[in-house]
Amino acid sequence: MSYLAFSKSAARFLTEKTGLSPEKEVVLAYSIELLALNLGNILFTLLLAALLGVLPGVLSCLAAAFLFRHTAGGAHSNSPWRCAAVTIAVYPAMALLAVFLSQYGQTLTGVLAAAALLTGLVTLAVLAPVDSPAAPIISPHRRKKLKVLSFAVLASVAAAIFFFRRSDWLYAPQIQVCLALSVLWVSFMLGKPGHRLMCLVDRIKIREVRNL
Amino acid sequence: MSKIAVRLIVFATTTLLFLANVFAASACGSYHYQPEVPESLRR
Repeated sequence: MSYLAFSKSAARFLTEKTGLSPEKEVVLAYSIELLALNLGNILFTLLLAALLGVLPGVLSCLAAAFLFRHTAGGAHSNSPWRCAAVTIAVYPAMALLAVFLSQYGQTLTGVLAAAALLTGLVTLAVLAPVDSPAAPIISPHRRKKLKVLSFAVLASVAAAIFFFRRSDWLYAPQIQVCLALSVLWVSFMLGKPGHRLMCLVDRIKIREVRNL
Repeated sequence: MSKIAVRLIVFATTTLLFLANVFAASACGSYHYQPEVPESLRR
């Protein structure tokens, strides 16, 4: 199992102090890595969102995407740093696009939301849940449960869009578009185009910085 | 090590083991990256 150095050392420290078995050390490293990556991704994305003035939109995008990714899965990068770069770039960009699109009134927002929900419904019905070799879904029962949960998330997002459509809040139109764009993004990441995009991201060469 | 520190370590370890099960039960643990799930948590 390959985890980042800080996850391994923190897991080793906790295992030594509590006297757990070496098997549990791997489980702890996995948990620490995911917790740190999720918190880091969310923190830096919200920081950029605050700087760009699109915090409510990005919060709604992150919440919708988090729920969809946990139930429906999707394409992954091979590197946690590239994943962070994609997350930090995509969600604020999505919120900025939402600010632009929400200027065109409720008709466009409604059409976009309907198209996104329909696309999401079809994609989830056909593809969800999408697993990866690193986290295979072995049990058919678990697969079925995740599919049902992903439909529940889509229904919740539809209810949220409906709620914000009736709301007078200043950010309501922006959040409606953000939720619709999040559903489209998640649908894209479930299919082959999303997997191709992540392969492309993994192939981008980054020059190594070496300490002399 | 003080008693409070030991209790904190035990609490952190228990919470992390619980979270590992929650993460392993979902289709994807993070936004666009998935570390390898330990064999004992695969299902």
